[in-house]
Amino acid sequence: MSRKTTMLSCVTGFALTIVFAVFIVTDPIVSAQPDDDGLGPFLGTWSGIFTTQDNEFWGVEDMVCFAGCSPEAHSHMRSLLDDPANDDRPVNALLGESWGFEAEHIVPILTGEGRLIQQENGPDNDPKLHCQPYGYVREVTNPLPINIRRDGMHLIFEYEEWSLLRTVYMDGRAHPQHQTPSLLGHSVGRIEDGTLIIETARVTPDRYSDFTEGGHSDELTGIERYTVLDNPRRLELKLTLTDPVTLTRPYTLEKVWLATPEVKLVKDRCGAIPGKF
Amino acid sequence: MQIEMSKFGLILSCLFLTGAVEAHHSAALLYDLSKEAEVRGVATSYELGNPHLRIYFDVDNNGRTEKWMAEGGSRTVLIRKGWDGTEIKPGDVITIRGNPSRDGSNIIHVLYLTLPDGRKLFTEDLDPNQLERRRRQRD
Repeated sequence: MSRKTTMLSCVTGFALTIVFAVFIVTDPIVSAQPDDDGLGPFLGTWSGIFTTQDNEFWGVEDMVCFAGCSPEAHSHMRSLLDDPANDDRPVNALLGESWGFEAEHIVPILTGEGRLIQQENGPDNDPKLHCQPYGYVREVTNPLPINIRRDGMHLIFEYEEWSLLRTVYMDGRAHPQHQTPSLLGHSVGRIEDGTLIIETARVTPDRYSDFTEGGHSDELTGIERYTVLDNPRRLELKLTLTDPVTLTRPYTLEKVWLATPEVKLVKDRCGAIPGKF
Repeated sequence: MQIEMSKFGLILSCLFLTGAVEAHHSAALLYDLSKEAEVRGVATSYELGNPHLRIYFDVDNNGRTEKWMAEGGSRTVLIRKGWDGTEIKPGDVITIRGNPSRDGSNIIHVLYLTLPDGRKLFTEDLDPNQLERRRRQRD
């Protein structure tokens, strides 16, 4: 090979390298940096009080919200603990009272249909006893660890509870006009001022919580607002639920998880229920 | 079925709770969390499954066999504590201590399980003693 040919090859190779580099930098898919979209702080494994009981962050009143609760129920438990008249009552009796408060607290905001559903629901006819996983509200506020990770530009929520996966679409799409309702519904998300906001619709009817035994329709919509705070690093959720069939006004639940990078999700499995139980 | 305490050929005592914790859902709906009871019987089946651990067992009530179910903590929480689903075998004589049902039916919210070899296992999600300690720290 002549010196001229060698020089030409080098120049051509250099030019192609430059062109390729420019392509990488300008291609939005290839060049996207992991934290450019604001999702970085939300990624990882987060665990509630069941898995992190030793952490001094938790107060006794937080136990009320182990599976999510209204802010009012949390305050109610705090007021019981503050009342000297309750000093000799066991914590569990106070917790039971606060969960009772939660069940009563939702009643005034239920529609007539909502009250009928609540009356018909009971521990014995809970779908979970027949290996049917939780619906949207109970899954989002469940007490077991969750892992949040990227799936391209979207998010995957992996719940240890029932080992369910949930995709949250982050590309700006809207809910589809027509979609068969599903257990966890259709979720779209965005970042606003450091808050991860997820809107969900198209869910199948299920229960709001174990505490209330209230149930919602397939017209339920949920708005989750997640923020990440420090000392200790934690994920806080405010979930606002709207359902014209069962609620006269929005119903709000809250929940907190601690950052637990050391926690590995455990495979969940349903327990069969033999006999009348 | 109502519990006939005087006829029970087993231990059954209601005590003020010394500290207990919550199952995966609200145990307060089904169980009287302000009381404790103790029941002994023979295990017939056992499930370390979601949503909760369940133990099915037969209780001899003066020669009449009664079917009981004990419900405990969350599957994956107990797995993290070392449970593997082989803790109980059919035929094991076990003692269950926990919260009795509100309506007198033969179900119990199990807090402690005593195995045939004498081992006593805590069967719930949270340590009740730690909750009480934190409560006192709060004062």
